[in-house]
Amino acid sequence: MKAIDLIVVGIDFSDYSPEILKYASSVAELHSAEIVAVNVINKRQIESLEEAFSDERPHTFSLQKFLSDETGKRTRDLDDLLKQWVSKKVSARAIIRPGIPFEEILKVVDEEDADLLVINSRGRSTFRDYIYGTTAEKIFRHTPVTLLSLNLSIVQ
Amino acid sequence: MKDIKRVMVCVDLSDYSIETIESALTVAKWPGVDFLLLNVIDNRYVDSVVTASAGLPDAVDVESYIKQAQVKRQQDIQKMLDTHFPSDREKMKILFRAGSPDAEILNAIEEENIDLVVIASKGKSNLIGTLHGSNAEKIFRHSAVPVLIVRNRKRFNLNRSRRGDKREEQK
Repeated sequence: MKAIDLIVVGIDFSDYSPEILKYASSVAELHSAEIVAVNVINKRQIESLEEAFSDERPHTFSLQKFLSDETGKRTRDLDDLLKQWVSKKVSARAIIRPGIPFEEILKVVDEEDADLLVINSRGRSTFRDYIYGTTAEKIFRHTPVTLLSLNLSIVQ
Repeated sequence: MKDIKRVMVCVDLSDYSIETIESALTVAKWPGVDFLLLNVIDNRYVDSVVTASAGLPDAVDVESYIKQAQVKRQQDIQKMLDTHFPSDREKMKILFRAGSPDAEILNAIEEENIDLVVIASKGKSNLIGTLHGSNAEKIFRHSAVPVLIVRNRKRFNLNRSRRGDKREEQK
């Protein structure tokens, strides 16, 4: 790897997200690279919502409405994060997608032809005994590009 | 974000080493960064050589074997640096440790105050179809500092297509 033009960052809105963006922004600034921040609406969450609604109040849950509302909300949140933590000199955009987190992140890596992928090895399931997240592990296994894994942990 | 001052690159003198160093230099382009190249002399080899040579007249003991290996590897790494990275040569230092690679890498991170570790996703035990090396995985899991896992898209795709991956054929 000699040059970095595009960096994909996996963001899950956990406590680590600002630090990941700061790190990615610092690397991007060195190379005048672009940042693409990806957040995935977990398929598991969508399915459990659907199931809960169909048991309790059938026909009141619209998947399409949920997805478009959620995508809108997360796009705003992610844009705010990018504005706050990514340097003004770096161009950054947000992508929100429904699906299985590691698959969607790797799809974005492929589609955007990224040179570097930045994640944290822990995310939302911050149990003290968890050494790393399952999503991080799957990304580590399957990524086609160089991976920067920030092993940040707040629970020391 | 903490300033990055010391970057450790794990060099096992495999096919991936040059690319690993190159990626380390590219990503950690911050000014004033020092690079420490770490090579671990694997316990497994040391033990097997010492056991195998025990009955022979010119038997080697552990210390002299490690010393010999170190001299040889020092030359190899220096040659590689002089050929491929002459302009970055003075930023780099070479460090040797003997033991089990994953444990020694993790110890070195602490002892040397490392801010970023760079490792290839595969190394010496390079099997086609194996996605990553076991040492890389251990470092990824247990390192307390950020890890850069170097992987080459072209090489990775090549391996995938050899495994008969359909996605590759469709492209």
